[in-house]
Amino acid sequence: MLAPKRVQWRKVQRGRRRGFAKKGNTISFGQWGIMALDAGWITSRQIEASRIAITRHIKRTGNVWIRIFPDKPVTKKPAEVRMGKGKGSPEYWVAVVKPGRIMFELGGVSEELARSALRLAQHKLPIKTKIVGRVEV
Amino acid sequence: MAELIKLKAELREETGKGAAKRMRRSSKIPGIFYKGGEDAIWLQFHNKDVDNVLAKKPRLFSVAWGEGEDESQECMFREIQRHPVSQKPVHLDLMGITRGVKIETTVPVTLVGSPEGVLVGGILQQTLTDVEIRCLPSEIPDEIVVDVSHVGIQESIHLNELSFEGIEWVTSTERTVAVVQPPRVVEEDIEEEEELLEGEEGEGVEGEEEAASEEGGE
Repeated sequence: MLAPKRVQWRKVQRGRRRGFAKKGNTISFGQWGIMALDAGWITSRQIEASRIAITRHIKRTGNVWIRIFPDKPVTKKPAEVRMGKGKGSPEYWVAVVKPGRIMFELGGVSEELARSALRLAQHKLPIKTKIVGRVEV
Repeated sequence: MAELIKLKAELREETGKGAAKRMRRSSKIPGIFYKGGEDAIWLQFHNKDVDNVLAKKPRLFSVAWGEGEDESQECMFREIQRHPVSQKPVHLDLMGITRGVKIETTVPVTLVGSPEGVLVGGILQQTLTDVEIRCLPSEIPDEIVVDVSHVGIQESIHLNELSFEGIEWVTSTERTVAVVQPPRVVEEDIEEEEELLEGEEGEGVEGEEEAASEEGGE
């Protein structure tokens, strides 16, 4: 699963997810992609599940690009622990996603196969998404 | 030369973020027209007119902001800014052209044919999707069509292998257009086997724990 090798800060604040994706909002490598329509946190497990769903469906005939990286640690307090006594320990990693962000790209396969593969990946994600193609100037 | 598609426009006096937002609320799209050596002209377009023109994907068209001859120009889209989610245009950059003067523009690259390498299990990857070219406005192609049917496994096509009449490449000619990669069956299989093994081990541990807890309970 994707996770940073080394980070400057072990624990970070949650932050806010306002506005649209300012970068990473166009198809850059493949022909088809999954675009986020909501803001949210995508865990490394969800990214991996989507990747596996796509690669198994296309049977290694095309190329898959993952355009998001889970670089934000999420902490959690153990069960049945009273409030206070400091912040919990890091549990998993998430990628912060805003509307418009292209999360996965797919190339080298037919449109039909790409759409069916990306549809499977959409079901692994916790936010509303849509399948988009390359936009010409 | 065939008659160009006409895009209706109106002059606008207001500029800036607030004015642009007001225009978009009233189904208008702000834009700008410029031509070498002349002052830029601030324009606004109706949504429907722009959609109609974009649907036809013209390389060249004429924009008219009045009835006079001076108020109509041949031009091309230099940049179309789009909304990140809806992908609808929010601003148009139109660049005026002069007949007989070469211009630089970007055109899409399309691959045709089924490569020999793909028939034996390779993966076709298009590494260059747009290419910058220099040519006369009347000779701008809709797309650069590249036949990849002769490309074998681990072979590639470079831009310097392609030539089209009247077109000069602005993009580096050493750029790879398409490549047929060998299949990655071995690597992926190992990964998946590892995943499966991990899964089985995980299940085994859980099963043992359950068994242990049941024993403890009894």
